[in-house]
Amino acid sequence: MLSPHRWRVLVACLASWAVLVWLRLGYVQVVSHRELAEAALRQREATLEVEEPRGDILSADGRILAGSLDRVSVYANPARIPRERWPELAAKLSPIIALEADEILRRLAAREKFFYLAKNLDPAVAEPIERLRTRGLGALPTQRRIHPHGPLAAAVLGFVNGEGVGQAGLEKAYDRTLAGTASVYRLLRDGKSIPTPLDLRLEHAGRPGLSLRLTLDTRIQAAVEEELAVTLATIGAHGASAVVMEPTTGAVLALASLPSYHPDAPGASPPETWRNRAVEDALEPGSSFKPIIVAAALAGGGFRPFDLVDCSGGGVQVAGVFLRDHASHGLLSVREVITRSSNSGSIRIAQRVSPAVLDGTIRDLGFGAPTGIELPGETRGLLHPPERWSALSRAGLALGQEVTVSPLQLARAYAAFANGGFLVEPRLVQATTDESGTVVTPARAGSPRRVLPPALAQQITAMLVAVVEEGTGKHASVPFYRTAGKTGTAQKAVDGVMRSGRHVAWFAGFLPLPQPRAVIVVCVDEPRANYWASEVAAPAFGRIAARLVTIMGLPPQEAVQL
Amino acid sequence: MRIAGYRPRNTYLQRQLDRRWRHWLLWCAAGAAAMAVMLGGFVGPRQATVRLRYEIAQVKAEVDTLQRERRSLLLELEAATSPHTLAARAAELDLADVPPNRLLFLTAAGELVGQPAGSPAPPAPATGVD
Repeated sequence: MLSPHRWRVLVACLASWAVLVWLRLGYVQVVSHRELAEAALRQREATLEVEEPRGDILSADGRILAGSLDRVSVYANPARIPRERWPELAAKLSPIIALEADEILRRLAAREKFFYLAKNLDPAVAEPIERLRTRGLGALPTQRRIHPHGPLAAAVLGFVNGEGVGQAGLEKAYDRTLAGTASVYRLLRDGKSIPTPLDLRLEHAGRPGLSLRLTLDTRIQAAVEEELAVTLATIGAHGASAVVMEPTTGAVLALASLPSYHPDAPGASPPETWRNRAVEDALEPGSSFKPIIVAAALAGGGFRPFDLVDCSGGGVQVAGVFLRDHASHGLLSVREVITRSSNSGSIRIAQRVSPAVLDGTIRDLGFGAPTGIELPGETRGLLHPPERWSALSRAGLALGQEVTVSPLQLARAYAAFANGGFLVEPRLVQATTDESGTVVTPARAGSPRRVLPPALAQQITAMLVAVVEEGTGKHASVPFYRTAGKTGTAQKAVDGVMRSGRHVAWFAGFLPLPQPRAVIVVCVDEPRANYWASEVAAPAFGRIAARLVTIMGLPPQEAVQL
Repeated sequence: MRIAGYRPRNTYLQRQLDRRWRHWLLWCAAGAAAMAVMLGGFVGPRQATVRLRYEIAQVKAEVDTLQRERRSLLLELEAATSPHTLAARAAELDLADVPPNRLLFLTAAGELVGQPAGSPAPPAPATGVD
């Protein structure tokens, strides 16, 4: 029998212990509740991020230019897989992921941490891998970007990297729109800490990527690329590009840049081919710039189309430098200066136009500034302000040599001649749409700006028609369709110095008149067999234009009714 | 002391069999049945939900697979009918270029028009070079 004193001590000890237990309980349940609850949740729950599908890029005619396919990637973490299980696992994995067991073992031995054993596999392989129920081995959902039309419009579309992030072209410019946001799920882990699909709960609903509907037409794009490829094959050149644009809306129907690459495997081609030459290259426009000079002369230089200009002497002396012409033309009207592409005439006209008017007209027609097209890396071209002009600058501009432009900038300027004097905003994206095809963001509202009086635009157009019908652009003509355009052969400046043997051949024009539906600019960079634009770029323009009228269903102007 | 061969004959001395276990068993069975009914009441609907969820998951997986296949086929169709592919396989597919003089155009006014008969004169050599 315990003495009362001992009883009291025992009761006091037990009471103290009980109090301590209650205090600890209170601490755990009240003070540390949140951290411990979170720790417990972390222990028994896993978070699964499921990437929502990247949006498609669609052409104006409804074709899928870039789309994504659900795939899985099989990962392994050798540190978490017991080494004695490797041979057995490799043998089981081999038929599932179509990889030799020895190779699997070699890869497991070569790494220490998480790595991908195989990528871009059919999602059906996920189930047998899950059935292996091995910690440190699993299948993660991923996506593969597919370009069903191969290299078609590759420079416009761009490509994504291994993580599905846009790296070039529209994929880069619209990466956030196309990518969407991932969905987050919570799921339970089993006793081995392996996530199980039981009690899958959606924690955060993601948003599938939006699709882009472009203004590009696959048929026109393919025709343009094929004809440029013919030019590259027959003439040989460093590269070639072309733009086809609606003159009234600025909608780009085709934008080609060759040599190109396959956006499914951009790494297989040199990085130089990833560049979009039609937007990123700034080159001397040569004589294709003369209509802009003449527009300035007619707008503010006191000239009229039939004023005579002295084009004799085979060239002009400017600031002590003799600038040669192709021939001695004698007296030519302003119109004939364009038709025959006289350098002397163009220089003499430019010399009589004030720098302010010349610079103003050139800038009004969109040169010296990016067009704002929805593509990364657009060039603004080179155009010095009049304060930095030398005594030779106006002559240089008259020859299209002291200025550089992109094919898209030139197409935009020629669109102003074609549409009666409005400067349009070139655009590639018609709208962004959701999965069901409903328009989420409509096309950017273009705001054409009048930059030339309508009569002046008509006068320039008439001169450009004469170029195709009587002048240097005859090879650009399309039978039964009235076409306007201008050739341009420029010497290329490399590191600021004109290099002989390096040229750029241009042809810029539009058809069919009197209501042009398309502006086409062809640019051949460093042609080899022949560098004259009339022999290189004009025929390419003619072939593209001939196919364009058929694709667009434009009836011939001298049509006969059946 | 034990007397060999002695068997008590008096019936009043013979002990009746204890049959209370039957009640006990009955109560146990009843209890188990009640428990089963109660648990069934709880688990049954949950089981039905789980089964339904499982079936939904199966159907969703099938739908996902079919959608993946549809998507894959759609992209294959795109590739097979791509302008570049058709151009490359034109001869194999027996496709021929239609010359412009055999094309007819439907105008906005509803008229069917074509190019005038006879080919136009080929362009004269370009005047000047550029």
